[in-house]
Amino acid sequence: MLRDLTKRDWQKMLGLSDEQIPQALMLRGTRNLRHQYDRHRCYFDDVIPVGLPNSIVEDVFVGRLGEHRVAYASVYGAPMASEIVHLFGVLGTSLVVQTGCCGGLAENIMAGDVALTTEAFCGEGAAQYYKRGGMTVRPTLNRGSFVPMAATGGAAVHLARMFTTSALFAEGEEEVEQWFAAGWTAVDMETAATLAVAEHFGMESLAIHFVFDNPRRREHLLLYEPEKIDAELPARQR
Amino acid sequence: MIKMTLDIIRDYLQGPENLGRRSDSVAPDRHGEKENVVTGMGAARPSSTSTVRCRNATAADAPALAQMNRQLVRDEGHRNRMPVNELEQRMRSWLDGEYQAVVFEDEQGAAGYALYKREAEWVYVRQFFVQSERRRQGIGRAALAWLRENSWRESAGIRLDVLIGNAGGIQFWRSMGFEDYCITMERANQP
Repeated sequence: MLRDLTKRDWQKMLGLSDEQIPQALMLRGTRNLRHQYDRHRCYFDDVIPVGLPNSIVEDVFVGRLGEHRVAYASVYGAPMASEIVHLFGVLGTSLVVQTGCCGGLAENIMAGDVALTTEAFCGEGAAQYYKRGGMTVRPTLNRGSFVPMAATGGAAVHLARMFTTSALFAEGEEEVEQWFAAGWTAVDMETAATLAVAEHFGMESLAIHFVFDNPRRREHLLLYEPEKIDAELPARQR
Repeated sequence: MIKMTLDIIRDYLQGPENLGRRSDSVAPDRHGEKENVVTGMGAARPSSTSTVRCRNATAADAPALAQMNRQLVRDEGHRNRMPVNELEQRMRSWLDGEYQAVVFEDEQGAAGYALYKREAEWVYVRQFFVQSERRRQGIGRAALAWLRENSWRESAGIRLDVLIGNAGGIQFWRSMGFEDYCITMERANQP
């Protein structure tokens, strides 16, 4: 069974030596898997593409970030995120960082802001297979002070309670208002699954997103990818 | 966003203790590690101006915060009967979770603290305390101003509860521009 695959099994399939096992994993939630893969690759040296012939693993690489080995993966939704975190959890990677875009639910969260997750609601379908009880999961790293102020370019950083869903098009006004009324201040499609798997494997975890719309404010509901990337730039560069 | 995330990863890999300690690292919603100085201009006694330093509390502050929490419970006449060790345990749990605390200090030591959490549209202030011998010197007023300008800057509003019998507290908050919104009602449910 896939669950029973060991570190050595995965290493053999992926062709990774002990020295190539990354210390950290960065996940980018996106539909544009290859585009984001290419965007991120240029920040790393000695990039090794990681994949399997049967396409279970795609758009993943391990690269060198200074003196450290770090993996990157483009993922879309909770199932894909959970698989990648599981794989690197078995390999012994110690830190997982979930990034991507999210929708703001609270009134004061605007497009272009940064959201640092303090707690996530497992409204998707993958986290339940890793968590024993409870519907929420927390990252191990969630202090606002982790965010380099200069890098935000003046964008507001919010400590966010993230609702993770798996059905974007099923979001209606009623659902969005219910999530907000329950105290959830942002919504995404991967964070709860990523944090739950990280917790299962004892990995440190952190989730940081940029806000690209606010469904409750009806802002930017249909941004195109270039517009999202523009919104992601530090405020002073926009 | 990519570079910022990679900076965080790099900081962590160079030693988890490095996270948030770079010179340019501070929570943009102003609840970072930096200490800040405010001057408490006493409204009641302007002559007793006090320089108050506000800083974010850490787990190491839990024992001192628990002691002040106990004093707060006594001063306001709250029903809570938890001993200090339980208050300390509760405080640690809060600080490890969704609450943050800011300690108000001056040359005499800790003058008080605020404990709060962020909700969807509000900051909820669970505890706000100034040592009894330090009251009416403008410390609470200065600390509140600092919190509004720094820690709570991004929040649309502030909410808190005051016990009906805490006349001094009610007067203080009203003088700070707070308005009555809700009364909690109760009765014993015995025949």
